Amino acid sequence: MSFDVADLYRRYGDLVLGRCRTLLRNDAEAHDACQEIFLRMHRYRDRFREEAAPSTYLFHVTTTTCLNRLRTRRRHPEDPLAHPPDMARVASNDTLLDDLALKDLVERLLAQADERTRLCLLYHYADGMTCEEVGTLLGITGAAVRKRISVFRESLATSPPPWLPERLS
Amino acid sequence: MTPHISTPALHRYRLGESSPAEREAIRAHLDACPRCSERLRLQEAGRAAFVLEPVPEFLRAPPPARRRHLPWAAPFAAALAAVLVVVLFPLAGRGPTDPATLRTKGEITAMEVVAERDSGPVVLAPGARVVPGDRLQIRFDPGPYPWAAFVGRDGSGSIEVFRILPVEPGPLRSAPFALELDDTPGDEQIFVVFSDTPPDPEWLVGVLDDGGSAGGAVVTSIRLRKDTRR
Repeated sequence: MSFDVADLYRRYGDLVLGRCRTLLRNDAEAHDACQEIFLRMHRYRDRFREEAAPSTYLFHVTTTTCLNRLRTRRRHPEDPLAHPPDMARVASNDTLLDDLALKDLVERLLAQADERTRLCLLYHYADGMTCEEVGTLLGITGAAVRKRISVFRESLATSPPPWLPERLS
Repeated sequence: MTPHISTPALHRYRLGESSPAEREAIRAHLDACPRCSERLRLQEAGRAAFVLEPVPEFLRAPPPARRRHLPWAAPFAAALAAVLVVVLFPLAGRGPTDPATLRTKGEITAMEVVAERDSGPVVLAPGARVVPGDRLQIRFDPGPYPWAAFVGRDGSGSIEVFRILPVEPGPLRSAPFALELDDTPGDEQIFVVFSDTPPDPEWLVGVLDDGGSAGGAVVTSIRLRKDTRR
């Protein structure tokens, strides 16, 4: 079923752009990523299915896109365009972590976690989603999410960052 | 369960996509949690800033085919619009109506009202509190309709036709005027009536009285709670 991507942009563009700003920490790149997401939806609009909560779907697509961009930054340290300067403060940061803690979490995830584990941890620690909610979004069980988080926590056991809660909730 | 509202749940709440049970739980949490209230405020501020930006050219869908309208309509309506900048229609003796058809973006037509606040422009939700002196900007998407009429009804029941304009299909855009609220007590309703032909003011009153369905017009509206306490 196709849908009007322009309407989606009008309704959810702020969600996508705000999420891009929060994760990418760069205004120009956030606009670029936002455009990429909607351009892709526009191009492949016949392949997308209507979601019960489009905001959650777009939230997930945006998060995945941003993490992929951040991973590309890490892989191409020689490219100055891949390393735009950070925004000192991210006005759109609506997560549960402050700017520095979020940046630290993302850097640790990019350094030592696979793609699915990155999403599990980001959604749980930064966005306050329960393991069951994360599992539903990713199409895995809540127990699988909890396991991935536990393994990651163990890797931080020797010097846990200040944003890490003492127990897995 | 984490002690705070998740980010996607806050978005769902703000966008009206929560289930009734989730909405109730979030509202109760927000009442007691300054942190999540601040997160919601950040999302709403982002929305208010975003809504003033145009839709990128590449996303604009092909314009829908124009509907048939009478050849004499354009000059007639232009003359009407020039004369009828503001017309008042007292509604004494008429029953109250409430089309309650706020149409959100994503449907065929759309409207929203933006208020200037100290923190910047804010998109008002239905039932939002406003005060005398507030300056409001109407934004609208006419869908395929070639005419838009901007109408207000204050707490006394008086209807005021602000403007009648020929419009082109296209993205959400601002009406070419702003409203400043007076101190008439009671709720303030703002309507945008989309139609195929230039609307007659009396016909507009009939449309509103008919619950927004008369004559094939599409009525979008929002009711705002005006607080006149000093």
